[in-house]
Amino acid sequence: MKDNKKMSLAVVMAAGVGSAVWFMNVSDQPQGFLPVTEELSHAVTPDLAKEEVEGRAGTYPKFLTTEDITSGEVTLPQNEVDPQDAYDAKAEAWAKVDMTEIRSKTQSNLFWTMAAPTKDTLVLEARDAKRAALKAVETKMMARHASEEEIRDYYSYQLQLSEDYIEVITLLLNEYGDVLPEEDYSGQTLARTLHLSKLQELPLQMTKALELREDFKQTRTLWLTDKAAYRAKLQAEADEANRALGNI
Amino acid sequence: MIKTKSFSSRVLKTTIGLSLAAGMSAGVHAVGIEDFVDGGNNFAWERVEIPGTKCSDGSQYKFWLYDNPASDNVVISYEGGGACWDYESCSGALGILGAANPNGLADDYINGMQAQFVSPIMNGNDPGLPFRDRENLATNGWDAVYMPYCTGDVHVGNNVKVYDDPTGVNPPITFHHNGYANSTAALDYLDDRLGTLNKVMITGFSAGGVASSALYHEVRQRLDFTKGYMLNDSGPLFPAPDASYNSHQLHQTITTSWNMDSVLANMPASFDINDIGTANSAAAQLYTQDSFAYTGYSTDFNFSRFSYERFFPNMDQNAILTKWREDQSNLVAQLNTLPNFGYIIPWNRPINDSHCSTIITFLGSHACPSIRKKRWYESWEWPWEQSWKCPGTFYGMSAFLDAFVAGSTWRLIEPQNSYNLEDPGMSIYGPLISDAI
Repeated sequence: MKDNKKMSLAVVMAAGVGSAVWFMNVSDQPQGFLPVTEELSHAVTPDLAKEEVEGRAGTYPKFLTTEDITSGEVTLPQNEVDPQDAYDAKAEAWAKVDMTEIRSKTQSNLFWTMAAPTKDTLVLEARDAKRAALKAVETKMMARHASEEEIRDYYSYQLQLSEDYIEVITLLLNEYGDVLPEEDYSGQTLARTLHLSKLQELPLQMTKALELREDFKQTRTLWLTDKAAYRAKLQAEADEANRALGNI
Repeated sequence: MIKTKSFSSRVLKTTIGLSLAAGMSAGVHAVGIEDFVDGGNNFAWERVEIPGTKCSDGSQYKFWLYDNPASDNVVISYEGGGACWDYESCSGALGILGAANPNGLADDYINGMQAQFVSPIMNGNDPGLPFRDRENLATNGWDAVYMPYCTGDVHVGNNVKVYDDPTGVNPPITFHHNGYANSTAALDYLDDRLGTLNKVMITGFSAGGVASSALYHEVRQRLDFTKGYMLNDSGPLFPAPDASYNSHQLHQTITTSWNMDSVLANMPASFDINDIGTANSAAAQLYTQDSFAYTGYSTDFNFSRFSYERFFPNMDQNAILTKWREDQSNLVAQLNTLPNFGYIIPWNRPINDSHCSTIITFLGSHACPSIRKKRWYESWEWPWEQSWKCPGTFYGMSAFLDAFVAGSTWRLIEPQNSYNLEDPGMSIYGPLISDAI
């Protein structure tokens, strides 16, 4: 990373664009939320701050605050990943990943529509709209009001979504698994695992949603037959349950 | 550097499967059940059904216990999943601003994705961090108790309500806010079953996080153990002594709807029923030998919606998060007065709307208190998309947990940043994980 820094400096100077870059990046901190502990006194005394405890992975400071960290380096057990090393590895790895190539192999995949990083406002707006539509159906399903067609369409889409995601992640791992940093490799693998799990659960979820819809229809029919009697029955059951809880 | 692991022979080994069986159209990439990879827990769970305990629909409440004969420590995890207190929220008409599992719990609930992958804390390892932390988390090897959530009352309600549809279009519903009876019955069962314990950790996410804080005194009263830990993930009990505080209306509403007076009467003497947030200090001050911690994101856009959206209409995301951080500042100020109460508050994680920092994986749940924008000479470093840099140390959740169990009190807050959002790896897998859970 130090070499990178020197090279970066040379490039900037040679190109004569240093001042522009300076203005773009000179800000160290946004003018927003700052660590609250920097604004408040805390109850830890200096003596206590020197104490250490023995954890499973090594020795830690017993008391540690944001102020301790921002005022100087704090030693942690060695198994923690060195951020500088991790940062270098990440930068080096992702420079080798060609997402354009992956996209060319999976052009109609929903990953590009619904999840891929993008700043394209049209894509983002369409994504938001689709998510809102899905949420609307989810809400209707939770309230058991969704139509059978809505339920089937919803789960069909979820099925396609998970399958598409799995395809892209699999391709990414196969093509670049040997260069990705551990945590990114793990993250992609975990996402893949979860969608495989989801695929297994979707059929039962859909069956359940359809059953609940039918239950609700029957319940509503019963209620419409005699609303007052239906309400009175529920209240009597609730009173009995509250008696059991000691509330009455 | 890890080696390539080819998935092609596994993933694209298409099976006829589940999709067809359910009448769904099978896509060209249909995936077979044999493609499962490990990652979640595979404990030898025992299902426990205590007579009289109930879910919101009146069905039997169930929880699960893994009793490791070699352990005298236990982690009890309270599941999250929203909350409800009127017809709109309890009937599901508000969508995600409602409560989970309104139709009860299946007998194999524990094998579902949520329970399996719930948290590295309960599982004792992190599926997101192979080769590093899989066997090294502080709770690895502990007994585990999984408390599912089906009462819409953050596990502590004590009321059975009939909610009427204000529009008159749909039938009324009966909702058993039976959480307190369920929780205390389970604790009594665990006391009989597990006997004297060494370490006990109470944790939970979202509504389960609230339960962790609210039930700690009950845990201390009902279980017999030496050292206790309470780790609340994203279910903060914000200080709210009067109506000028953002969470006051929420607290008042649920106190009434769930008949909380009857439950809160059992809290420690220093608890003030007019300020739910005093539950934090009441427990920490009473049990000074125990360790307490809170974790959650400064940009949590889920619990914040529950807290304010229905009480302060017409707010956009920015306004909601502003209230959240006001409440968070009050909480931090309170916790700073308690020597045995720590916290780790990262800024953002593009998973689950930055809600819950210990669920599924610890990836992205680190905090870098010294994080800053890249300087001009660093802007040329790859990846160019990443404009943030942590020049010090990322304090990961596994280290926080390890130090916490060892008796540490860490108080870490990460300043505003977009590091996780701009991370080239997380920007891919984050949204995918969100779409899976």
